[in-house]
Amino acid sequence: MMNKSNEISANQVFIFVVSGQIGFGILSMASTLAEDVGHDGWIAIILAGMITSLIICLIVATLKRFNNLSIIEINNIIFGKYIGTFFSVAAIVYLTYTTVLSLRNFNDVIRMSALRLTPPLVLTSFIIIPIIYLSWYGLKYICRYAAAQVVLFILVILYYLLLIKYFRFTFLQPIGVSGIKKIVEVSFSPFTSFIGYELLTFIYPYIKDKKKLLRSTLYANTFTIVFYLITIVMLTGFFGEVMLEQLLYPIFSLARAYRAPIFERLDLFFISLWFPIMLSTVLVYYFCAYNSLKRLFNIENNKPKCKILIWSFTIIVILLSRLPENMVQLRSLFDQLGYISTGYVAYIFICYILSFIKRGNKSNEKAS
Amino acid sequence: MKKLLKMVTILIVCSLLLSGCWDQRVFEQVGFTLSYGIEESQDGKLLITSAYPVIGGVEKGSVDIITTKSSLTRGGRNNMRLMTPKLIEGGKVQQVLISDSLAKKGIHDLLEIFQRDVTLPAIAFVVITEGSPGELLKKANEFKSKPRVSFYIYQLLENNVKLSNIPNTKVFDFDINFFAPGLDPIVPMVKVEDEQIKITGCALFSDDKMSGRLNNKESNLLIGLMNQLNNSDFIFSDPKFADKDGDKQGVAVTMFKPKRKISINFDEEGIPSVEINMKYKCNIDEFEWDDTMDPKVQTDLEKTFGDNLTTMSNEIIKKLQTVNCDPIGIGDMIRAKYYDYWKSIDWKEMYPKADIKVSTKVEIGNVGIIK
Amino acid sequence: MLFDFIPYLSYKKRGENMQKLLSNRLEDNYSDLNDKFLDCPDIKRQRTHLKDGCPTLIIYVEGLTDINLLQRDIIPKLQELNSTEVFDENMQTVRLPVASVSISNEFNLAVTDILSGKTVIFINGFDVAISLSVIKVEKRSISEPTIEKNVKGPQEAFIESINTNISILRRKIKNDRLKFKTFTLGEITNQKAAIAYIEGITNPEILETMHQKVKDINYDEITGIASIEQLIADNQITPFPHYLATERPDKVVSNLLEGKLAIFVDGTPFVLIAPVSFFSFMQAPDDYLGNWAVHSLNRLLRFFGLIIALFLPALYIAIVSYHYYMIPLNLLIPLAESRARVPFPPIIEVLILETTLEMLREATIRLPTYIAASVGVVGGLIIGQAAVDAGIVSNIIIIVVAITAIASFLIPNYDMALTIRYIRFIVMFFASIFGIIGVIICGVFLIAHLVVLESMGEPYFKPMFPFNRSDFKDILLRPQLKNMRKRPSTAKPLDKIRGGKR
Repeated sequence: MMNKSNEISANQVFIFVVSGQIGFGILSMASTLAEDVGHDGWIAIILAGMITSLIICLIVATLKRFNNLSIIEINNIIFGKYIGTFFSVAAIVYLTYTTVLSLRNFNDVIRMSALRLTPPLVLTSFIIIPIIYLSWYGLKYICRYAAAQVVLFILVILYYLLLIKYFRFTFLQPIGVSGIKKIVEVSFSPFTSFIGYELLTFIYPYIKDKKKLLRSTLYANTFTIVFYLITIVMLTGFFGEVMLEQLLYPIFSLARAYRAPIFERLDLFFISLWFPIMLSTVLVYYFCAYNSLKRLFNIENNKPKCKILIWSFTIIVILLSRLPENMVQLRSLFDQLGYISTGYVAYIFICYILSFIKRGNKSNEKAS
Repeated sequence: MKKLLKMVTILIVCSLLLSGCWDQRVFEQVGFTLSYGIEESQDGKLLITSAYPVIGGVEKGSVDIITTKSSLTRGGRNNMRLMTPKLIEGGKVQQVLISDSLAKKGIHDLLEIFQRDVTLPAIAFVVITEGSPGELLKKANEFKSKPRVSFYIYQLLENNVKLSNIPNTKVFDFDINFFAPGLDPIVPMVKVEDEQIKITGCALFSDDKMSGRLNNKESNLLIGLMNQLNNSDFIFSDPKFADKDGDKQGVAVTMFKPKRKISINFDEEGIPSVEINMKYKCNIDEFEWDDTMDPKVQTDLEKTFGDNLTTMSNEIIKKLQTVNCDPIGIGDMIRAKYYDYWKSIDWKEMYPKADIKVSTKVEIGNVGIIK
Repeated sequence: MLFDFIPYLSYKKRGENMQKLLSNRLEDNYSDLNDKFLDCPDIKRQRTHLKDGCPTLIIYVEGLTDINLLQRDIIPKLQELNSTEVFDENMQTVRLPVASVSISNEFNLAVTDILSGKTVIFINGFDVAISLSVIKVEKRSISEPTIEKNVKGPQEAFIESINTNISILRRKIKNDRLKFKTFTLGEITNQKAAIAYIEGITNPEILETMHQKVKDINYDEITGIASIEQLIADNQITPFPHYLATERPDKVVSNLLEGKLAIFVDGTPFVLIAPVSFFSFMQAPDDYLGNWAVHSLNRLLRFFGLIIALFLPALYIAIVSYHYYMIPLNLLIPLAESRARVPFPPIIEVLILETTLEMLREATIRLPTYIAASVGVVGGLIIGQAAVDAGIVSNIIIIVVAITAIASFLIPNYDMALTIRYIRFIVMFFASIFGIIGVIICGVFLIAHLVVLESMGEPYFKPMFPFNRSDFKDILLRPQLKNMRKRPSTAKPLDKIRGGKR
């Protein structure tokens, strides 16, 4: 029963990857880019998106070599039981790390924008309820829930349209002044904002029609690129690069700039639109971590044990999310996340190469 | 054991929730400041005036206006909290009124709190007052025939923004224009004048320091040059338009969204010469009993209007150049199109030297229902 | 009689008695029956003789049998026959003027026949019982629907008798593809029940699952159709109704044509439709009986009402107690002035009014109509100006609660409306603790819950999430009938296109 509720179609992979990608990176990405390349951030986004597409192809190719296995099992095959388990644990630690950071960031955004005095532990425990609920029921439901976000993305874009009259095209000109070298250099950094695709390595066995997988993942990536592009262009054209650098969460500052006819301030409405989007990012990482743990312990069909696991995992995540002391530390941790995810991609690349050797061995064994 | 655990969890959750409502700001306990006035005190600190409507007071419709001394904008609120029955919050601030003398020293950092603190609105109007804003608020509060002072100013500004009499400058507009290289903010100005608050034009800023001012008519045209004019009522007053008796010396027109064309060239010395071509369409609202449908009269009128506007616009540009304020964004355009040149100069120095010419054409649309 | 349920009665529970046969001797049968019907004064045991003096026993339940018919046509005819003439050569039929006759030699079958209102005749010398359907049950006539009213559609509703209900359905679908699977429910009450479906449209898998599920119900009595719903629901921890209970035959017909199943149970005027999605509860029969544009607007209005009914009081609480700056400038002072006199925090204020309203609603359902009217007056006074004047609640909250109440009346289905009311209180509670975040997270959780729910293995929130384009047309809007050729996929119908191929 558990397995069936995890099964998803390739179309659902699209929304899964999108929810993994769009969430936190975008909140501060525009200002980080403005610091580095001024108003040419959008070029860097396109480049980074293209790099991401290449990485996605690589990941899918790696997964295709191992039929119907997730990275947890692949580790065991390639490295043997003990080293394999070590790498699996490392992968799960990576997922947990991301979950914890994004949960903490989510919590901070709420505390910054709406509830300043609410005790963070209470708030975190409250916002994690839907996450636990959906993770318990499985991947299929997560994807169904995540599909609801498409409406929100449309609303966000509509909100941009409300502010389009303040958009100054001159703020985006001249194109490419910061130099191609610099842009290319920088474009490797925002691809942290694109992470989310690497979750494929954890959910691969649950995907039904694997032939369409690459296509829908690439579509998802393209969707993310387009969404990021619209956002970056909007933000740069609205604020100008100099002001953009000063802002911590430019999107929220943008939300604060629209004066609605009767209600005047719509910023809270707009921020509310972001909550489900951020929530689903935490959700997909949380689910992958939890599910990988299940696979690691091999208790996928053992409900009572799963129950213990999900509660203890939740408590650990909530407690860990309190560890970063302040925003500065959180930011630097997020920066480290970029390196770690790059490391993870590199690791998959190694797996890809090793898979040939392993396969070679196997076929040799068969031959002999 | 399991039941016990469940009970304990429920107890903890309940007690947490019941002790909850940490952020609660129950609406009627909040005193929402609607206008904020900032001026300079004699000893170099800030005098913060805040107006908030009194709810449940003895007299209906009254506004409490309190002035306190502080070194920060936030300090005003904190001091105020020490003397009012309500919890003073600034989430609904409609206008930030800044005295002209303070504006001359730079106001950018005063407005910073509106961007940093999310509870404060970044969509509050920035307004420069001639004289002390505290005085203005207090005087305006005594006007019996007007709505509460903040509403009064708010409605006044909203309507005049619609009529393009004043720039639509909110806190975030101010900041964007301040930060953008090659752009400068302009801000509406008001003053109290016999039982009224009157809009007197707009204040010109160089960086964040007020450096000059324009009157109403000029600000109207400047907004046209900034390409933000929707429609406006305009009166050409010139002896040329005098009617037969000679006591009516002008034409009233409604002007519509103009078409703007800017071409930028550089002369040999590297000084930019900018040509701004404006094309207005207008309706004649008031003139005289005459044959306005006559094509000749129309072309004459159009030409006079055009000349009139051209001279006025050029005067405005001169004024802008002398106070080194560039709200039209010529610097921004040069930065966008001629980046290498932009990098080689200091625009703040170059702008007053630049050769900026405006030529205006006016086309008459309709003339009302009198021939 | 339209339907004969005898072959479908379940004998399992009676175990070894199943095979007990009737005796040749009338006296044996008589004493057996007497044992069975001890202390059953309503079961009449009438002895009589055939023409040749052969003793005969007529058994019927008083009040379920058409006595007139029995006296006038059957008994005289019986008395004119010789014992050899009663049956034809093959013992297949009886020479009696009755339309529906069955002959069996099983004792228990005879007993059930008697209990279901048939007249059973035993003749000495024959080991069989003759069951004659001369049933006449007191029942109310078909009347207008009471809780699902509409404007233009048919104005008839189901009644308590399953036979009548099935006949209504048969009258509406004159097609041999309309089939019924019949069985009895209720360990003690032995109620007849039937699952209606349309052969060739309904997916046999769904039919089989449902049939199995309903047959396996092990409960002494089925009070109403909701009992079945509760006993067979997939997910027990949910406030949402899993299946659609309706009293309207036209609704059943349209749902059957979408490949769904309809469960009839004797004794309840409601029919259960399964599987359904969330959006079935938001559709009214009137939607399809008029111009598509007008009714699309109606649909949108209803969804707007749903959102208002769920979130408006919660938003009020959140804004008034946390986010004062979201109140429009012009409302700021009037609202604050009316709030200033109220000693309670917003949540209590809303709860006072909402509970009063709920009490009022609950009271008017039970009370006789003439008292209910006066309750309305009292409630109107309390909720009206008096509460404001007394300083217990503010003006605005009355408007908020009133709008919410009106909006929740827009929801066409009674069960769903109750559910929405229930959820509203939860959202209000969290709004009072976390402000707008509470509302948002509740909304998120609600959607999460709705996508997890399934009705007979079909996603409950389909076609919204998961999205299905051809079904989605008929959700928020109501397209033209021409454009709705495809049957909704909720029930996975075999025949996907409406109308014959031409």
